[in-house]
Amino acid sequence: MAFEKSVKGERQTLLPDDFLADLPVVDETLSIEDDFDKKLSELKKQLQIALELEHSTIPPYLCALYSIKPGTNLMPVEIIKSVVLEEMLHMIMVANLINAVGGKPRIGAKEQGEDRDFVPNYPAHLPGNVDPSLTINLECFSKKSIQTFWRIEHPSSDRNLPTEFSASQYGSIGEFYEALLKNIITLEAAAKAKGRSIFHKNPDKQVKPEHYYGAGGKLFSVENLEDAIKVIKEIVGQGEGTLGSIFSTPYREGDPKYLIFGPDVEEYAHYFRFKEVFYERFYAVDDSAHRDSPNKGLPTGERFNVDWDAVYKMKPNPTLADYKKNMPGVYPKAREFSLTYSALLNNINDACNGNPDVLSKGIPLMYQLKYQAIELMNIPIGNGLMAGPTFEYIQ
Amino acid sequence: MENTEYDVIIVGSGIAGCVMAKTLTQAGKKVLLLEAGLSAGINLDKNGNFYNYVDYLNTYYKANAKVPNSPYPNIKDAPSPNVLDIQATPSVDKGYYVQEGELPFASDFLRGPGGTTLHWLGSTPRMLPNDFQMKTNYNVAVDWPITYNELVPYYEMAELEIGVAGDASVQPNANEYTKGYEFPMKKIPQSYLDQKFMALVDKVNKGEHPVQIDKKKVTIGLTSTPQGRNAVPNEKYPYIDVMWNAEQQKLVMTKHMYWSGKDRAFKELDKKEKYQYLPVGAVWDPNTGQRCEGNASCVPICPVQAKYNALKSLAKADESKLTIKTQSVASKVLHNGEKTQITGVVYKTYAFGDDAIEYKEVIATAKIYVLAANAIENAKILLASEAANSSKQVGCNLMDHLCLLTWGLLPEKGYPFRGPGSTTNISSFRDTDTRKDHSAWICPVDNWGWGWPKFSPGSDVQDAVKEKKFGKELRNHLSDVLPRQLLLHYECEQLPNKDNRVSIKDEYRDALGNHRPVIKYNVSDYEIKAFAAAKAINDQLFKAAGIKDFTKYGEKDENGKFKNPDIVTPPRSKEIYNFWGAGHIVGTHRMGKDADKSVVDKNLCTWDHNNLYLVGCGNMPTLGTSNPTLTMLALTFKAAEAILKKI
Amino acid sequence: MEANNKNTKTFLQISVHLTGYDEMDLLGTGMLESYYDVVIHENNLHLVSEFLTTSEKILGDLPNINDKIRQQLIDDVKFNSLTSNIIMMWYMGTWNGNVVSPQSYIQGLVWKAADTHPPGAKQPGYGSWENPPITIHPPVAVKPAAKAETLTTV
Repeated sequence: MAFEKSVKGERQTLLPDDFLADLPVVDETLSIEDDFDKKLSELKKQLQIALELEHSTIPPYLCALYSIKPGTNLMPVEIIKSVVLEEMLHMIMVANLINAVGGKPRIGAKEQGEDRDFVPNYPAHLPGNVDPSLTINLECFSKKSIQTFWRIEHPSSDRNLPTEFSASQYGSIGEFYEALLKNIITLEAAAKAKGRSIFHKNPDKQVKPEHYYGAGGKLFSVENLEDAIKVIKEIVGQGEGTLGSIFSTPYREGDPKYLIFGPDVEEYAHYFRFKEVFYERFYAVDDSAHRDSPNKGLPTGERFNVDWDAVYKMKPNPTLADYKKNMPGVYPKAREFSLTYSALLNNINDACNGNPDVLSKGIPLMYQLKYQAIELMNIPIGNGLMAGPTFEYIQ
Repeated sequence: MENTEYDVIIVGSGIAGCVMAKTLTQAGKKVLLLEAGLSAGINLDKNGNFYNYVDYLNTYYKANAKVPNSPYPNIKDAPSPNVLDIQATPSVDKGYYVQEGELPFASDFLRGPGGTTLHWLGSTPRMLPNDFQMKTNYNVAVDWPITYNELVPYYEMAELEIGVAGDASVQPNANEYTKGYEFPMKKIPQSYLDQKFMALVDKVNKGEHPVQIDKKKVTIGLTSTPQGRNAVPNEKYPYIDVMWNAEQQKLVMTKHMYWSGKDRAFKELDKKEKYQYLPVGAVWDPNTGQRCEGNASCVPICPVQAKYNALKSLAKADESKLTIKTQSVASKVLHNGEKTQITGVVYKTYAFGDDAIEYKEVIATAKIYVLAANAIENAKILLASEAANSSKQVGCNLMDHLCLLTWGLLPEKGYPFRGPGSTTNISSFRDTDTRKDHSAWICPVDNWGWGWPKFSPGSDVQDAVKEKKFGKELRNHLSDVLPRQLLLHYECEQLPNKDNRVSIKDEYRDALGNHRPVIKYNVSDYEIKAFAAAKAINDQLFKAAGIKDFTKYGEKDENGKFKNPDIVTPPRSKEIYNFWGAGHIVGTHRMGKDADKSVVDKNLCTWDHNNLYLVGCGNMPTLGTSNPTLTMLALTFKAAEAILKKI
Repeated sequence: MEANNKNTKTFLQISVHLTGYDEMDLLGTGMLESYYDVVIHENNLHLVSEFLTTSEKILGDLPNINDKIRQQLIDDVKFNSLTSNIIMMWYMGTWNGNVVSPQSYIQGLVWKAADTHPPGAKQPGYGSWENPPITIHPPVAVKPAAKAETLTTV
């Protein structure tokens, strides 16, 4: 849907104009005050789920990334790394969005009265009822895990927007965000009609570009509807790219909308980047993203080397409980890992709740997390398998 | 003879050559850039560049001695000097240098794409105003043909180009900066070790036993060092690019115009967009290296390219105006006897591979010629060409900072071996009256333990194992000692001396038939007296601060040879001092106001040939106490401006 | 990678007592197999075999293990240089001064002992050097203070 295309460092936005075409402007049912408040509180909950959704893919991506043996698979490492960095950026931007509508982003610890953990219990489904047929695992880099990843980032062919928002299922992350955006727009319109806004001016709680660097494009802070739309476009654009239209609209030869690759395009959607890894080659400049194109939406450009065996074969979905009971030798290292991970989540939580400056203090934790994960992946635990990082929040 | 007519031919793709190429092509000039090193190193294609850099990094990991040139290929057709080859003189058959002087010249450089910026430390202090007038102020050496103030606008360009992180307000002579001046990025955090050391120094300064010189108390002052590595952008920094303004006939720093690589033109910034300086990341990926990541390996290699290197500037050149020829070693410039013009440059190409023996000699021509091949190589080319030498100064006045190292153990752990090589320096001895008698010095506090003089931590493990330590005892010993290591190095200013020189002799040549540099080198009493003075201060400081001194000069290896052959004794003294090279190779074609005493004029044009310019540290008449790269780059902008005025 | 072979296991266990790092620390470097290979390939096999047999016996007497190591592996001229080389290899990633592999350099225990990281690898991130190493203040499982702690040593 939204493409942030940056050409030699200069960013352009390539946005199809139909993005908001089928979204209603005002929901008539919101005339009653009670209903408005209820809907706003539901929106905050949904945004918290978006936060959890953005986070939920990070541990699986990191497991795949860290399981690649050092010095091998240079391109897959660069590609997965760039995706993870963008997911982290998305998480921060969703937190900005939550703060903007007066919510309180919760990262790490379980809020009192909540039955859901922030961190999924892997193997897990994506939070928010997104594509419940999909199971995500903490597992090593493999053709299978890369396929799972592109399914996570898959633009669904089903464009039917769910009508009821909290109880329904979503075919893809993109659809989840589309529903979310629809609600934001509707609520803001209702608020506007009363001379108010759902957006609070609380710039102090916003994480801004100066707090974040190094990857994943631009960090947007959110103060109004325009910013909120921008953030969601950025998230959806980076994740899935075309949001379904490559499957739902017919292919027309030479349609520039689908000619989105090439050396000058510095970033394109995660979905396509994972395809590149799977097929071990880049998209060529004249490749089309559309599945009915001559290249069938697949990459046909320059090949690169993928060594699927140069991987630490970590036993999928490791847990602290399992180590404590069955591998007491590994347990202390796994616990150290979980402590670092928890400290990192706490740090991000702090940063997103009024102390954006502390975000930079989390960077050493992020690196430490990596080195501890790799240390675990070097420890053999029998049957040709290795230990692995336990992404568990512990107190 | 090639047919193509270039406006300018530049020899060398180090910092001076790359910035020259960028500035001239952006101003619309057609440039040929000749580089002696391998093509792979200049790959501006993202993936190719990345793979090549990963090769450098792996070579570094595998190197037994991780010296400055260890990650980079050493090519027989364009050899680089290596610090491992330094031995007592005379030394004619080891390494690239032929050393015929009293003492070996101990500094290296890198011949390859990006030049020595690939392994420079990245410290960028400016020279002080008095440094430019040593004759007038202290009756030693010579004055520069320009003053500090004349160089200020070019310093500012250089600080933008490199991307300097620092706090301008705390620098010595901060009042001599343009009013309200800021660096592009905020200062690099000073290390934990610096903070521990500064606390100790503070206590000594205020305590009962402060450091004294001639029984007078001296206060030891420390400053955070400005550095060419990426840090938090400074929101107050207003400049975007350096641009040739044809109307004003000068280079200007833009606040609203930026260079668009896509459109190959300077464009007006979108009015709505608020400009903020953006750190320049790795050549292969702008998102990599947006901040220094604390790899603690600036020398020899920054794995994320958060530290500036010349290829970042080259990447901004207008490709359509630039021809790059690699594996092309310039050997001579051509001139026509009494004529004042250079008529061509001769370069030899070589193929690279196991059994490649294809050599070719080519002549290229242009309106203007720029030698940017490093102080030693520039001198070699001029001497081989019998060019620009009516003053007989070519090759003379070779200088370096002479580093007197001192090392000890801190009373508490400072946790070295972390962060950039140095983040703080002792700045209070950079310009005092004693310059009449002996060298001034700057003294960086090193962040990497005793690595430089002692090869720590490897030697510490080795020694402990030799003492039969093992297991927990060994581990605890290392955990106690290594985190307390402190190293200082007093970088003493060397004065120009015409007998310290680079020359060529026909019997000493490399595989391509080009000359190897023949070096005669020594240090004078002026510098040796500084060693004694610095050491006296250091000893008092260590004692008062409770730093246990482990400094030892004149150590010998198992064959009875000095480990460091650069060893000197002051007049009427039995003390011995070792000094180490700083890698600051300066002074072989100095600028001056008189044609009979200098090689280039104040615009860096040779007095003898009005279309031959020299850039690089060779131009500097004196050295001051600053790492020379920033000053050299400022002069390069000055030269670029002069060239653009001319064509 | 697994220490399933008896000799590798003995090599691992004696290395624990030679280096002062526990089994998981040594396994976590990922270097066990390749270091064992270096020992086999760079030495007289007979000597290595004797070394392993002696080590196994020593490992059977844990209460006196340090004395036994000193007497039989360090002070004994037969094993002294092999033992020293093994310690150097774990700490520096080198055998007789030669770096075994890029990874061996990165995995040297000396960097851990010094509370740092190998220069050029395992970088700790921007500004980390301003504070004491993260390894000496491992993260604790409580919510961090609202404001970042700043150093007050100077």
